[in-house]
Amino acid sequence: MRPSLGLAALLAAASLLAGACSSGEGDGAGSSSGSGEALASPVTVEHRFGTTTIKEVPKRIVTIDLQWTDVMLAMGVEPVAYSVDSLMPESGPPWQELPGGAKALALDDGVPVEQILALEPDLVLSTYSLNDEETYSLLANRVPTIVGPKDETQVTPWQDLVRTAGKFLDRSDRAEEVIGSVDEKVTAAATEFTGLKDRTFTLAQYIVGEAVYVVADEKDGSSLLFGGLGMRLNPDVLAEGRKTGDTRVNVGTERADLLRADLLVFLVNGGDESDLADIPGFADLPGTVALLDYPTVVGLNTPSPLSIPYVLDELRPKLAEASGGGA
Amino acid sequence: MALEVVVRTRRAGRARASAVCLTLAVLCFAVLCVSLALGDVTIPVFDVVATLFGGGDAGAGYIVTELRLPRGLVAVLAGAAFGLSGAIFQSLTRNSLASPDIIGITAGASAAAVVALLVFNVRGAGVSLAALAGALGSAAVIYAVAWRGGVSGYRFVLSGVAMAAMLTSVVSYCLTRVEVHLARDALAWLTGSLNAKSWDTATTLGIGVAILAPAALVAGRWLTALQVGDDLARVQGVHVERARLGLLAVAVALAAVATAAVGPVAFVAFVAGPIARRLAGGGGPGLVPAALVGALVMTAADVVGQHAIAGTQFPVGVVTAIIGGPYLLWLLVITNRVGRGD
Amino acid sequence: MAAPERTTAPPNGRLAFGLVTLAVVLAVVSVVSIAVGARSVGLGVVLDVVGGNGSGSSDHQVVAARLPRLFAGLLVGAGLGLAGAVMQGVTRNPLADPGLFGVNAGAAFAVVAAISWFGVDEPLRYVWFAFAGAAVVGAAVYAVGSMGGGGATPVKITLAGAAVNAVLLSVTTAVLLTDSATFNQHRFWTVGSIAGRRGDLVAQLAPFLLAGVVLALVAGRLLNVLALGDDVARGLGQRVGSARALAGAATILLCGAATAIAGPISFVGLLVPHVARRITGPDQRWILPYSMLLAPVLLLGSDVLGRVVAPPGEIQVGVVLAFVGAPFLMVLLRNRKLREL
Repeated sequence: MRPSLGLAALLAAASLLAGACSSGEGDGAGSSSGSGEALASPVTVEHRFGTTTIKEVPKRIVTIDLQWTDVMLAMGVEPVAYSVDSLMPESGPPWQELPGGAKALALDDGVPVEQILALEPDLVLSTYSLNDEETYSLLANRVPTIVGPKDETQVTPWQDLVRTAGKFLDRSDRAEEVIGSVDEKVTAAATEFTGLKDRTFTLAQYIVGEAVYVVADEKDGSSLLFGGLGMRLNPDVLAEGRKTGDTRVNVGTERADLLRADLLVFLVNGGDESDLADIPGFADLPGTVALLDYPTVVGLNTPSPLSIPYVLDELRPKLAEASGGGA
Repeated sequence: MALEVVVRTRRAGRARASAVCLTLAVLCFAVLCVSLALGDVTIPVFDVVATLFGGGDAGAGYIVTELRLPRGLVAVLAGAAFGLSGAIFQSLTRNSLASPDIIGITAGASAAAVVALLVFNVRGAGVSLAALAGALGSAAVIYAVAWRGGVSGYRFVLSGVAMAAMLTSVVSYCLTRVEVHLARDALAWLTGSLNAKSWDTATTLGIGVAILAPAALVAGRWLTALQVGDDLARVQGVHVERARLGLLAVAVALAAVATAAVGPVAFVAFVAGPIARRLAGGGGPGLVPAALVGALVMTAADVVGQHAIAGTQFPVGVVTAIIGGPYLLWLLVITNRVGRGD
Repeated sequence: MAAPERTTAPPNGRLAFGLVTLAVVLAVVSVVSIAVGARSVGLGVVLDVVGGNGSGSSDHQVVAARLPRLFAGLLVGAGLGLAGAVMQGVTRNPLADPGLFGVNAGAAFAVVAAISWFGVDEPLRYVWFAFAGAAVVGAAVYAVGSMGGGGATPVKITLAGAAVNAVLLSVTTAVLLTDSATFNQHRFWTVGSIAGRRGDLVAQLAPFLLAGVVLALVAGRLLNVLALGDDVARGLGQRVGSARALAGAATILLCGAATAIAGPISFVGLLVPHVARRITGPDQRWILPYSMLLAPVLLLGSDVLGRVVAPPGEIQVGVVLAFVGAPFLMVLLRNRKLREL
């Protein structure tokens, strides 16, 4: 209607843009500069968006994603802020005891960059939620930031996270202790339930009335834990996974035969135990069935030094059953 | 005598339109300034101004110039692009309900982005590219379907609605096939957000708008001619089909670049045109006021979403849906009651 | 109104024969839908179960579980097909379809409200929310779309439906984004499906559907009169308002209950009446029963297709239908002069 005015507005916007651009270079990226104690040698971590070097022991750490929060707590470090998984109960994951002083970050509108920077952290840790390079740069320009591995479908082994933490906290001894004590618990369970050796397991989620999703990934956290107990993933499921190329195979409710395993670990999504009757043939499955809640399944899928002991305790009776009962 | 009256009314109309544009621009600038001053880090207004001119301390400077300013500008630019796009669609189809939200353009962007996110595991710029391609692709298909020796407004609208229904089903299906946290990532994109928009997005979007907005304003002259009717437009020497295709292309491209930058923020494209027409009066398409209203709605919605409830941040799309939805319904009732629905 | 394909109807005898043939086809498709699925079972097992010999192996259980799914498919199909035919007849709108009328979005929003705000997370109970949401929104869209001059023109009512759809969809998305637990359940509901529907849930809604079927079939004659235009209809002594109200009540019962059972399923109600009209000509008394039998054939056929295309999983029938239906709609738009309908 009034092109001249529109152009003027546009020009104004453009000049504002250009002006701000030139003044917009952030200062030195990826290195901490506080008053903390210097590390003997700088720790360099490779991740999805490049490498991050940490020169001093961080004092104010923000953890985004459960695994890092757990690793920090296991290492005896309290984060200044941590992200909340909105699917967890309000009190948080049952294995965590978070200090009252730490700030809970909601990720409803993505990673809240300004909120994090306002806390003046000297390290930001994430595994999967910080998955957009633009957000990463906005943080990393000011704070050393570590994100997940290059292949975004992979879950970093929790031992690697603990060892990395050991390095930048200058407490590698403590890191080995943490790993050792968790491994010990797994080994203890394996020796307690020797009957589990070479038995099969399946981890699946039942979407009530719709479908079953079965984990067909040997690198999944659950596979690693049950592998540690001497068990193996149901070979039929693995074969289906190879056929479809999925790490989680979508299975119709009629295919209860794919749930056949000595130990079936099951999450019922959108219902309760009574809904299992809707899966034809479920009652006739030969193995032990362990029904878990959402937090426990998360603890299995993305294991941490805190979640593994918790999951083992939750599963103990079922492990005993699967170990004893013939299949 | 009669001519004189016409000229005088026109002049009055133009004066009113200019005044409205000026007011809108000032308001928009004011909201932008507010958005620069508010946040988790409290920065006195004086320091905000100082940092904009290169002063102030580094910490506050970073927050203002690298976080809040690009975010605010992205809001302004995307809002303006949505507003322009919606206004063009609405005038072209002579139906105030025919905005890209509703006739399948946004659905094309959404479906492509969700497929990129969930099937191909793409993040960041790749998703934006997919959304861009999706919007342009679905528009091309809708145009091809609606083409029958010319494109009529209503056939374009109905093809678009059909397309949107199918694409929405693609989105729903994809959301059922993945882990819940991945599905939430996709849902967040589908809502539309201005979170963590840096100069990268602002610059790309800025270039897009800098090219498309002038094109839209130039093509806007055909719009005035087409509004009178195809035959009269032909008399005025306008090549009707070519003009319509050009206008559609610009409108789709505007919606596409904005959606690629911030996601399909609901109803900004839809509300901008009608509000602008109400304010500026006159029968013209009112592209400049529509762009300004779009920018204002977007920036204001973001300020509300970020700061209305302390400690909780809502994506901008949530706010525009909650404000725009009821407005749309109201407009629907009004439009149909006075019989301009077709 | 409608159907320039045929202006003269074939003789009644042939139409009746066609209807019987269609019933046979439906019976065959029903048997196929019991026999074919993600798990392949022997024909002997199928015959056992159909013969009432239900108990036994897990194969028997699988086939037995397909029975409520079949009933759901029959009811939902018949309901949507009839609802579409009635809607198209009464609005004289070739694009009338429960999905395009915002019924799905209304039901979806009501389900979100049920789960998120009222803590109702049992399908048996939130089904009533879906029913109510579908009914209210369907009625509202029709009311708004028919305001003003020209009545419920195709563009007006389609846009009204699309607009209400868009509003409810984005408000639903906004609620879901801030409530992950609800999102986690709801995302599965939004894809229409007849898998895993329990017999008792289907039985709960069956009376509403049956009532809708009766009303719709009764409305056939009235629709014929309405098709002549309101003035002529009045001249023939027809009370236009009450005829519309009857048709409206039938539609709301049919698509409300169908959506409550299956979730959002688009395009069945749109597509089927067009096919029916092509066979029968413009007489609503034939279009309606044809639609009622054709729609479940399409729905069950698509469901069977969805079961076998992506083993070992299944694709929900709502998705299959969207891919069948949208191209059909576009062809329809290209080939018809909508203004004449």
